[in-house]
Amino acid sequence: MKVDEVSRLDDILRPASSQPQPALPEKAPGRTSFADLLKSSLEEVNSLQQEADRAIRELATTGKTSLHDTMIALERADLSFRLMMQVRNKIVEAYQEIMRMTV
Amino acid sequence: MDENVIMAISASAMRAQRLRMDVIAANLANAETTRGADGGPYRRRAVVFKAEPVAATFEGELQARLAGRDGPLGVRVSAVVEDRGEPRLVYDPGHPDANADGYVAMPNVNVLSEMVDLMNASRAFEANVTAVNAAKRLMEAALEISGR
Amino acid sequence: MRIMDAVMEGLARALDLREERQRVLTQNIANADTPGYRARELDFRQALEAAFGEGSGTDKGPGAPIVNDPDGILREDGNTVDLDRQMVKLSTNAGSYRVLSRILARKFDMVRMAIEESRR
Repeated sequence: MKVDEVSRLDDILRPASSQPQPALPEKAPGRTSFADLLKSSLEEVNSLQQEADRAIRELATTGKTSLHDTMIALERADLSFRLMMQVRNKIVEAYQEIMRMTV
Repeated sequence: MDENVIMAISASAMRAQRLRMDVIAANLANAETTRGADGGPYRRRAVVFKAEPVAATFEGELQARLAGRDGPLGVRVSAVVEDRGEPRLVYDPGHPDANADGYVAMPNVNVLSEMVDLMNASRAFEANVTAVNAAKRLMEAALEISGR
Repeated sequence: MRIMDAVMEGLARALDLREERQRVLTQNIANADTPGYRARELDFRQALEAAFGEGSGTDKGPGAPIVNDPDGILREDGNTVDLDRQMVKLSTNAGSYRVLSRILARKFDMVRMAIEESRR
């Protein structure tokens, strides 16, 4: 059951169908390497964190950004990070599950 | 645009209205003053309001102009002017400042219209206080977006 | 990976517009006694529709134009601010902002729930 979920991970990580995300590299049509997907997702989480940091810095120093934009950036960064952590947990679980298997 | 600018606009207006009230108070206090600073009767004063860009930075102004709009406008009292209206002549031969015909030149202050002006200024001030509170509620609402 | 769906992006844009309109209305109230001042209004309907329209992306798009307030009444000093009307607009606009931010917060809650509840 756990292994099955790992195979569905790239469904979770795939961008919402309403908007194609050109940032993700396509290996073969319809199939993306899981490692690439994970890597680009991590990079995205990182850039969202940086974006939130920038918004906070601007709010604190110049007071130029509007409050709600900063809060939205924070929330976006927070949630993407949480999602990443969930994915990590799932991967670790899957790994342990496989390690426990007797061949 | 951000809440700080909204607050700054209202603050500039409150400052201007306060000054207006000060001037009205001086007019009322001197409604009977026959010896003003220049020797003659006190002359009614009035404030002149002017719209002025608030917290204008070069960058902010440039961006606003490029977007084809004017930047945020606050208010400033650009001048306090003397009313050049003629003094009221009141017949009071016993007054120390009475002229040869027994008339005293009294300040050109109409107490009734000053009172109306004072009420208008106070109402305008309150309106700006309301605007500040509204901006505050906006900030509080924005804070609720994140953080649980 | 997208945390915010199209509706949430639209809400974020709508908050921007409401905030800008609040600025314009506050400016009108501040200048209620300034001779020659023309009341302004943010013409935001079109931008709002674009924010929630089809294919609206994360980009902010063109801003809403600031126009002379069509409801203005010309006074003898050249000022067109109707203070009472502006006050009504101000409080309804602030109310809209609060509703929108509350909805956005709720949407974030739902996303958070979706993430956290997958832990089993």
